[in-house]
Amino acid sequence: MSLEISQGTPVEISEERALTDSRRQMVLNMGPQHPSTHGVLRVILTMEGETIVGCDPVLGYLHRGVEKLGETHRYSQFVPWTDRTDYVAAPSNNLGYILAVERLCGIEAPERATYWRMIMGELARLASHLVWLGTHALDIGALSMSLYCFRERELILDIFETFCGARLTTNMMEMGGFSRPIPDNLPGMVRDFCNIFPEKQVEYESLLSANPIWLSRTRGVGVIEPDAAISMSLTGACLRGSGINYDVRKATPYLYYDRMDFEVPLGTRGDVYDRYLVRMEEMRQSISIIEQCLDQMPTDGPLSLTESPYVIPPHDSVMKTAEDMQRHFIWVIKGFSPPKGEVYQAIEHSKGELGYYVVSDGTPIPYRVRLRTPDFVNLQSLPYMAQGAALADVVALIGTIDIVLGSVDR
Amino acid sequence: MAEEQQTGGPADSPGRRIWATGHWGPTEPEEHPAVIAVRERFPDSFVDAVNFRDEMTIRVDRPALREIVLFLRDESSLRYNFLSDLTAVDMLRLRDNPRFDVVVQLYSIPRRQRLRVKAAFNDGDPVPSMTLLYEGANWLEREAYDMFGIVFEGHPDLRRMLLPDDWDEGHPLRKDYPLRGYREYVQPGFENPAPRVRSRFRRP
Amino acid sequence: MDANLLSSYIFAVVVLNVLLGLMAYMTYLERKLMAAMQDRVGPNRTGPVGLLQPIADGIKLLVKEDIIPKHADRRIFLLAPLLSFVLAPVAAAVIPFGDSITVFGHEVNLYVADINVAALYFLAIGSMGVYGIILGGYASANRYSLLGGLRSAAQVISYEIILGLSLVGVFILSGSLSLVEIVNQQSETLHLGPLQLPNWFILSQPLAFVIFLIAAVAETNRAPFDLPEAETELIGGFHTEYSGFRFSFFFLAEYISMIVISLFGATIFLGGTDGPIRDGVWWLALKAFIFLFFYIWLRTTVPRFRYDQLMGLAWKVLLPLVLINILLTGFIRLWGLGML
Repeated sequence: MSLEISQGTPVEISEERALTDSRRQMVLNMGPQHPSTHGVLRVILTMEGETIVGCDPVLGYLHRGVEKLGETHRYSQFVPWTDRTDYVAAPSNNLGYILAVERLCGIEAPERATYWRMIMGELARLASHLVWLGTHALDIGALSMSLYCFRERELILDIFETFCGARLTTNMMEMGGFSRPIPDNLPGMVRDFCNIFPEKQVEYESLLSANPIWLSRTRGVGVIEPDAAISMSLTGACLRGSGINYDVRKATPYLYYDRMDFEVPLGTRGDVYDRYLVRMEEMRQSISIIEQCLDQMPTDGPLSLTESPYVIPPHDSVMKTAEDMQRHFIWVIKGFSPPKGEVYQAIEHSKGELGYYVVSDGTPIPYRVRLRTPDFVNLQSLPYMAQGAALADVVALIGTIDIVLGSVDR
Repeated sequence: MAEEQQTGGPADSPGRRIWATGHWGPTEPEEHPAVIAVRERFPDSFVDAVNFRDEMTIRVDRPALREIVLFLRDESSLRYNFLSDLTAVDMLRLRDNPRFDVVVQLYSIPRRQRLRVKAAFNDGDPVPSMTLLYEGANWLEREAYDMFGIVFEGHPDLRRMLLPDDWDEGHPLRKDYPLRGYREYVQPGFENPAPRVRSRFRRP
Repeated sequence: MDANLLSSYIFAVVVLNVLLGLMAYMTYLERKLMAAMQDRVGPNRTGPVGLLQPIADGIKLLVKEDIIPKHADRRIFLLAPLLSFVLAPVAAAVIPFGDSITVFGHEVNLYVADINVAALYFLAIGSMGVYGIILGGYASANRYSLLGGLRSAAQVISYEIILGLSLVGVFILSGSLSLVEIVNQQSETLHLGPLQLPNWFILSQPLAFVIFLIAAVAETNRAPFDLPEAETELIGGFHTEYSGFRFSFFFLAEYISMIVISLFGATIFLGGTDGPIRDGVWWLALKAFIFLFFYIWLRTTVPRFRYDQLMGLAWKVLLPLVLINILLTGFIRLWGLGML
């Protein structure tokens, strides 16, 4: 087998031709302060009239060096930082990192805690999809959608607040389970939400799915061929919209997703509308997963691994027993040291495959924390999709990739 | 701290190794099809295969990295056709030579299996770029270049990704790069601390 | 001075001021209605139920810093908002607000001018208003503004044609371009057997009415045809670089255009001041409000068109329809006159 490296053959362009080309073209700097780039994304567009001929995303306006910070904090101290990467689905980020570290340490949370982790992860997916739907529709001009979506998102944030006290950057997951008890009214709140949400979703779809303007703005726009989608390492709805069946929850199940009964929606044409449909269906499946979790979950049982040295001891026993107090002191002051090794834990984030690659050198501080954020990789498809599109489509394309700049720039 | 900690497994499966998900194929390197195939096909470039927490890592020589990944992608029994992640690790504190590891996380969509391929190299050695095999490696390699200063050979557009284009302080994820940078960071507007006075806004 | 002319002047001042006041509360109405549709409260802090909000907004816009970009074409930059603002209410001069009334023994006509080509005058003034937008977009030295200006030029030229042609059916039926004459014709009552219908042109020209409605939305750059502004694509388009009261001029112009074109549409298609009981200006106001409500409703509901789709809609869908409408109306008219 030999590698064929294709070298682009240089094309002679006469000076006159080049001059007229450059005169006909206009460079438009979109962002970093632009209402539709979902943050501080900057896209340098080369346009002929309103048609895009060149597109170069410039990242890094929100780069905070999260990976470098991960190398200087103890394992448990890095959890709040994961909130700050994708801040619209913070529990999912916590989950991915915690699963990676738990895998590194070789522990697993008790059953009840795992179910709650799943519920919180799915709620985070719903919250993220609601933000996506609202902003995506707003970008295309459907003004009211954002307000409707944020109205329902408030309910999810209320659940988060009841669960852990924070609404946006939750810092919710802990090593080995949850050290704090689950509030009594929480299952009821989640159930209420699951009852309310489906009819609200029908409301959204009645506004958009059959709307001729919405269809004309999204059908056939930003088509990604299946081969290109795989080659560009797209994940999430960007990949599934093109018809590739890869959902981390199904393909390499983590938590108890192998016990769940849910479908992976797939698109057929790979355009913006298909990705919209895929995400809408994903929301339905999430509701179904949450309901299954609530049904299957043991009502009683431990929430945390109390004996493991990797886990913070529960609060009440710290107050009562000397051993737990010592352990607590050591856990807080010194941290815990996982064995030497490296793990890559991928979870299905609302935007795609979120991977945490953690390298341990046997000290309480990780040697390397790598965040494979889905939207950073997915954003690579923007130049591919924008080629030949109109300026108004670029806005729709940025929306359909579903980026959060905290997660793209890290 | 026992490495083979068994606590806290789910109630229905007492005593199982809880990280044994089966997503990485057989746990014994001798049984893993990718390891066998690579060792057979590239006997000179294959270094070793390591298994930790059931995750299979193949270490290979740097110059053959692209050929091996291409082989893993196109071989009909392996078909690792999806590049999950590409990154690097600065091994400065763990070993003397070579300094960096480039880590390629592969995934096979048809076979639902993951694999990690690693290649070690020294500072300045060109690493074969994966962009010819996976378009998705483009930005991942740009990021690795940005953060570690790794030169990817054959990359079409190796620029800084996250840091500004005119960043002249090196590559921040290297282990010898101080957390706060090489220079004292001065908050803009506070270069010369002076007593506050009321100033009238002037049009530039 | 001629007493008629004087009364016209006085009435013009009255109309202008009423329009400005209406415009201010039009913004309030829009915000409240949109809030109701979007499940929120809307302005409610300034005055009772937020009624002073338009005044607060006006003061805010007037005292804001007036920024002129360094590279802007200064003279045109300053001229453009004025152009927009001056031309918007001028079109209202031909709208008849009712029959003449007697004030202090003088007979005062409730219209500023009765021109025999009033409809053409209206369309002409309407198209001149776009100069403000194009020049503003050009002079800002900003590429978003330039794109907004260009979009606006193309859009207004296309929809101006549609708007004009959609009225031709009415002109054929009424045989006049004077709005006073058109209103007078509509105040007759039709007797269709037991039914008594007003002779409004919406009944004889339903297709033209629908096309007029669409074209009017496009003409005033409102959603879903607000491509020149398109705040999510062009960040405000032609008025990206405008601030303070210069921005407010564009803002005023847009809302006054909305009100004026609503009055115009109510006059042409819905019988103007004609109503079931006690004809008067209140009927005109009610009909115009229906138009305005439709505008606001549209803005909250539908997404925005793309530029090429907008053009396609105008030239491929609306233009053939409106031509067919003219043809049919012409044949029916000729047949009715016994010329066929």
